[in-house]
This record gives sequence, structure tokens and C-alpha cells, in this order.
Amino acid sequence: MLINFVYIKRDSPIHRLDPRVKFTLLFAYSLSATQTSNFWFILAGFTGAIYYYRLTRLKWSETKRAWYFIIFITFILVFMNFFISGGAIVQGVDLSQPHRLFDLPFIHFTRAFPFLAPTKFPFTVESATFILTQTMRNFSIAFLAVPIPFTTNPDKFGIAFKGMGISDKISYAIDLSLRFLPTTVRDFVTTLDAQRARGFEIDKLRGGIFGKVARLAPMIVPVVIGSVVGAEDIISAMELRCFGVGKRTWLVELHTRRVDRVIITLAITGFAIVTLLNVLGYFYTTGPLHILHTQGIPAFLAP
Amino acid sequence: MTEQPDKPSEVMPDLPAVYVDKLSFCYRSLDDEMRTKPVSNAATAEPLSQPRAIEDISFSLPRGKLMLIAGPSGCGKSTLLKCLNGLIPNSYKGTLSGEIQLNGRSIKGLSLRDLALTVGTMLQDPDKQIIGSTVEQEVAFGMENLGVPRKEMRQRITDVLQQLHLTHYQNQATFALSGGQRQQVAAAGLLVMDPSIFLFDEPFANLDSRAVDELEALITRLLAKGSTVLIVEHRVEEALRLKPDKVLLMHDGRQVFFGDTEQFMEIADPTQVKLPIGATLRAFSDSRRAREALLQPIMTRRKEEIASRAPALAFEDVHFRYGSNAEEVVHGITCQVWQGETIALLGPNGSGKSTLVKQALGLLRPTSGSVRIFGEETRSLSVAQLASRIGYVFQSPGAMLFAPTVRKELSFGPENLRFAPDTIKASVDQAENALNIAQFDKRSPFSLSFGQQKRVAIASVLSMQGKILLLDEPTAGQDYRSYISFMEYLRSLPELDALLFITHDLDLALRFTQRVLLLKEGRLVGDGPPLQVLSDPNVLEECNLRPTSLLRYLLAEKNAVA
Repeated sequence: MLINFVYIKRDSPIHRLDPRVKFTLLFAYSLSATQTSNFWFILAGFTGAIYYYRLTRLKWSETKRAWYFIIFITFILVFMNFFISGGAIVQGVDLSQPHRLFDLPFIHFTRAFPFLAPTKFPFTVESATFILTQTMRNFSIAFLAVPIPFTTNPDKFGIAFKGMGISDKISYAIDLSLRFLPTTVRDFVTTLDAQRARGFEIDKLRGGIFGKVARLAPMIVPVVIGSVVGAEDIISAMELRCFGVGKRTWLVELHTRRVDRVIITLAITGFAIVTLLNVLGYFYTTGPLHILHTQGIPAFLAP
Repeated sequence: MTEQPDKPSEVMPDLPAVYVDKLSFCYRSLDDEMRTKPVSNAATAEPLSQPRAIEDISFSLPRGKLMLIAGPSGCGKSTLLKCLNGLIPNSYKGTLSGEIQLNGRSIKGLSLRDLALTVGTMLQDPDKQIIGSTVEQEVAFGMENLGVPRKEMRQRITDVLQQLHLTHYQNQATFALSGGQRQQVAAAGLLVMDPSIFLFDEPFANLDSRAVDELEALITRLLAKGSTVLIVEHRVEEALRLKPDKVLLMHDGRQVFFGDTEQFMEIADPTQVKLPIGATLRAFSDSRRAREALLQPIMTRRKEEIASRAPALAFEDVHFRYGSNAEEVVHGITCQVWQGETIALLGPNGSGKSTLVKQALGLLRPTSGSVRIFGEETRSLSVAQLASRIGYVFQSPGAMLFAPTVRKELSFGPENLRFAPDTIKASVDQAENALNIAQFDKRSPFSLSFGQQKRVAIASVLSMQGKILLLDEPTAGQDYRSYISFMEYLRSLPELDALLFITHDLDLALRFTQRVLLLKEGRLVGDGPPLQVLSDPNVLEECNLRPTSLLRYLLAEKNAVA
């Protein structure tokens, strides 16, 4: 049987929202935020997302595992990318005249033996701003995404996608796959325990990187095979109760209130405006219509 | 417009509800396989775990009657069910011949949807049947797929939940239910579609006794309502309590017997299927011989061999909770396991049996209290260090089997423990012989049957040469004959200091152990010889244990002597 995500039953403004609002907000904001690296625009989104998250009344102890994961991913994305690219992943910035703050010692590749040499790695106002913007962007998206499983009753996922115009079969498939993830996690924990009982120590794997991956087989094989067999069982059970033979009805009904309709309208309008501004920014090289293509360096960092 | 299958009220009373004539089926994939490699596996001592076809099955069952389909694993019971519910030929391809009529209509060419209106199938494991994320959604699932209007669905759900006393759970998440409740919810999902024929695939396999009682009540109600019920079960003893009208016995895909229950009891072999004790006794000439044959506790060490005075395993006031805010699940358990003992750990679902056993291996650490192995405190030892002293086999072999061959599977543990190559070879050979799996040495564990996999799983823990063996539900999912022979393997395991297994099966505890630990809600409520602990009917009732015919017989005998 598939197990559900950790829904936390509580009464909050976010719990009361129609699940379609939460998904629309997430998609509209994410697609808008990826169109710009303007510090002020992202700051506004970040502030709004924090406010939204506060409304969920979720506690740190309930969500900390999700946040550890997000912090880890953000760290990798922001810092590793920054260093690996030599600080050059900066979107929409004039890099011809960087404002250098200080240099970091670093290494770079050379043509001659030994192919590596020390170099100076400039830390600029532009890259500092970009790191800040990137971090805020990731966290603001997370502030909209994390509450979805915690504040949405699992019986509403299928109908939410159906209500957004997706077909019966695909909506139900999304519902099932959302529950497949926590189920796999549980199987993984069981297998880890079973292999630890055979002296397997996941933190003491021997060998190089490929050797280590190969030595993970005792963890991965049982979980993967179990999932495949489990999926076949689910298909049989669904067929025996006539799934997919025709148009289906849904027991759960979604009720849209005025506030839901207002938020959806605002979210879609906001996304349309950002997209329009983004397109216009290519035609106007200065002025307010170009704003999404500038970095908007804040005063305290300004050279 | 498509023709709707008959509703029960329109069924002609004289037509049988289920009529099967000369039914045969062959899985096409198997057929292809046979053609490409005809003899390669023919020489192995045990049959391969390939799906076996059924051949020439004929029976008929009147409306409102109960039929039991019995037989060992792999005899074709499940294939027959799939033919009746339409998974064959709609989902599984193969060659099907013969005739099936339900309520007087041939089902040839009917889609799963049409059949599902007539036949409701309860799968062996309710976990595999339940699709919906909440109880209400699970019950609604079939109706949703048939496009029933929302208002009517609400009404029918309310009715069926009331009928099964599940109203209270309407909005609960399905995964949070107990095993018995899951089965009831799965049944509700079928009842709501109002089929006239019900198929139950090994319904008693995963349940504790309270849940078995509830299920029996449900089946009795179905029959009273005029529904026709077919049960596939190798736990014949439980199924016979329902007084089936007809019994079909299958073996190797063929029909061995079809007739009334009384006749069945005369011909049935108690070593093949689990029968009530009366039938078993009849097979022996006198009852003392029967008693000796049945009751043989496993002795892990002979008295004279016992060297150490310290208990092999000691739990001292063990308390446990998951996380500091969670509720305590084990409330101060103290008990010792001595060398030479074989112990059954009994108790209802969720009483903390697995949680307790995991403390011994360090997979969970007691919140307070301690666990000692041969007098040594386990808190300072890692799981890997403990794994070399104490073996723990999980319930499902699927959770641990991964290697390309059985031999590699067995050497995995010893390699982790850095045994020398010679020692690895010796201990793997020994484990293979102990569980009689040497003939599968080069085969993939995934190509074996469930019971064989179970033996590989145990051998792969044994090869680490731990002196104490803990087994979680060693017999679950195996038919009677294979689980009795499996227990006999355990009897002959060499070099074991203590054996402890978790089980639901009272007869297993009675027949193979000298001592029973009874757990209830995280507390030890019984500790002693099986007959002594299990003699109090109140304790049994409290712990959801139902006396089996063997227990009743033994208790009656004991009282007679006293």
C-alpha cells in the first residue's frame, strides 16, 4: 500500500486554500522568478513567500527534514556553481567592469604541466549580489512548495490536478506517484535496517567513487525490485475495480471561495506581467521596461 | 449500448452461480520459455517457481453457497481465481480453453469492467488491494471508476461503512490502519460495488485472530445475504470453521477432489494441508504417538554443552520511544533468554514485538534500560559488531535479497564482517547445507519461490555465524507443508545458542518451542512454557489470540490427567 505524505491537520489560512491555488501560486511564482535576477524583484518575492509560509503555522520540528534537504541543495547550487564557473554564472549582468571587493586564492587549469596553477579568484559586488539573489530565489520557491504536502489533505491531490484541466488517468497517476515517494523512503529504511543486520555499514563504504556506488547495490536492488513488483500489484488491483474503462467521477469535491479566485487571478496576472516585461526588456535597453534584465545592486553593496 | 450483466435479482434460481467446465490455462510467457530452453532446469531437485498453468478444472457452485479451494502453494489456486475474475485473459496473456459461466452467462469476451460488476476479488494482501489514500476514497474508488454520481456514492459509502462498523475511520489515512482494519476497508471497497460473487485469496494469511473473527463474520453475512463466496486458502482449519458447502482440492494444476466437506475430511492428508486436530489424530493409530509427532520443541543446545552461566540475551527494564516527543511503545520489559532455549514471541499486531527484537541488534536503542548479550552491554557496540553475535532475519526476504547468485548473497554478511576467505567459504557452505539450498548455489535469489527465498534470507544471516538467531514471522506467506518442513530445518541448525521467533501462529509455538513470551501494548504479560501461558482464556482474549483446535485438545488432555 502506498503511504501518504506528512499531512498535518491544523486550521490555518493556507490549510483552507483550495489546493489548486497552492499549485498555481507555486508554478506562477517559480516561472516568474526564473525570468529575472533582479535583486529587488526577488527580494519582494522572498518577503511575500515568508509571509505566506508564516501563515501555514508549520513548526520547525515538523518540517526540519525538508529544510535540511533544501539548505543542502541550495548550498550546492549557489556556491558550487559559483566556484566551478569562476564566478561567471551571473545572469543579466554587465561583466565588463566588475567591482572587485577582494580576491580569493584558488586554482585553475593550465595548458602546461602540471595543468593546475594557483590563481586569484575575484569576489565582486556583482557576484555577491547574485549569490544573495540566487539564495533568496531558491528559498522563496521552497517557502511556497514545502507547505503543499504538509497543509493539503492527501485525498485532494488527484482532484486538484483534475480540476486544473488534466485528464482523469493522468490526475490519478500524479496522485499515486506523489504517494510513491514516501513509500519508497519507507522501503529504503526497512532495507537499510535489514542490511545493517548483516554488517553492512553505509558510512564505511570502501573503494573509489565507482566502487562506492557499486557497493550501494545491497540498498538499491531490493528497493527497486520491490517498487517494480509493487507497481504491478497496484495495476492489477486498479484494473479489478474498473480503473481506466471510461470517464470517472471524483468523490472529493473542491470548493473555491472568493479569496481562492482572487489569488489565482493575481498569480496568473503577475506571471503575465513579468513575462511581458521580460520580453520587452530585450527591445528596450534602458529605462523601467529593461528593469528585469538588470541586477539592481543594493546600496549597501554598491561600489 | 452495452449489455449490462444480470443483477442478482434477475438471476434464474436454478442456474449455478459459478460453473466451470474443463478449464485449462497456460501462461504464454512460460510456453515461450519452455520452447527456448526445454530441459536446462529439469534436473533440479525442487520444482522451479514458474507460474504453473491449470488443467481440466470442472465444478459448479449454486448461488448463496460457500466453496473452499485448497491446495499447496503453486498448485494453480491463484491462476484459477484470475480466470474467474477476468485478469486472465484480460491482463495476463496465455492460452485459455474451457468454459466459465457466472450466473448462467458465459464470461467469454467480457471486459474487466463488466466482470467487476458480478465478481468482487479480495487479494491475498489487503496492502496490495488498497489504492485510496483515505478510507472514504478507498471505498469510493470502484464507484468513481464506473462514473457513479457523487451523491449516490456518498450514500453508498455511508451505508457500507455503517454495516462494517467503520464509520469512525471514514477520513483516516489507509496506511495508518491496523492489518485487520485494512482487510475490512478493502472488503468495504468491494461490497459497495455490490457484486453477487466474492473471491477471497488466502484471506487469513496475514491476520491475528481478532481480525480472523471479524472476517469470518463478514463472510457469514455475505452468505446470509445470498452472495456466493469462493475462498482460496491453505489454512484449511480456519476456513472449515465457516462450514463450506463444497471443497475443491488442487494439486499441480489439477483437480484432485471436488465434493462435500465431510468427504473432503476423509480423504485429506494432514501433512499437506492444516486440518483440525481431530482429522490429524485420525491419521495416527493412537493419540500418544500423535502427540509425540506433533510436539517436539526445538532444542538449540543440549544441556551438557551449555558452558556460560550468563543469559545469552537479557533485556533489563527496556523502555523505548521513537523520538523524544513520541509516545512510549515499550514500557519496561525485563526478560532473559538462556542458552538452549527456543522461544516464540506472541502478541497482537502493534504490541511491540519487532520493536523489542530490534533493540537486541542495536537497530533501535532503548530509551532507558539495557540489553546484554552474554553479559556484555550492547550500548557500546555498533550494529555491525552486534550482527556478528546475533542474527536477525526480517519478515520479508524481498527487503534484503540483492545479489546475482545465492552464493554471493550468503557471502555478503561474512564479507562485511571481514572474515578470512577460507572462513567465508566454510561458513557459507555450512549455511547452505543447514537450510538445504546448496542446489540453488549459482541461481539468482529472485528466480526462487517465496519459501525458498525465505530460506536463502535465513542462510545469509546464519553464514555470519551469530550464536543467537531472531526471526520475524518465519512462516508467513508459506503453505502448511513448506512451513512445517522449514521449521524442521531450523531444528537441525548447528551451533546455535538460542532461537527466538515472532509469530501469530499458536500451533507453531505449541509444537516447536519450550517457552513463550506474550507481549501486549509494550508490556510482557506472559512468560513460561507454551501450555501454561496459553491456558488462560482471558489472557488469550486480551491478546487477540484464538485457541486453535490443537491447543484445545492439549488443554483438555492436560485437565484430564490432572
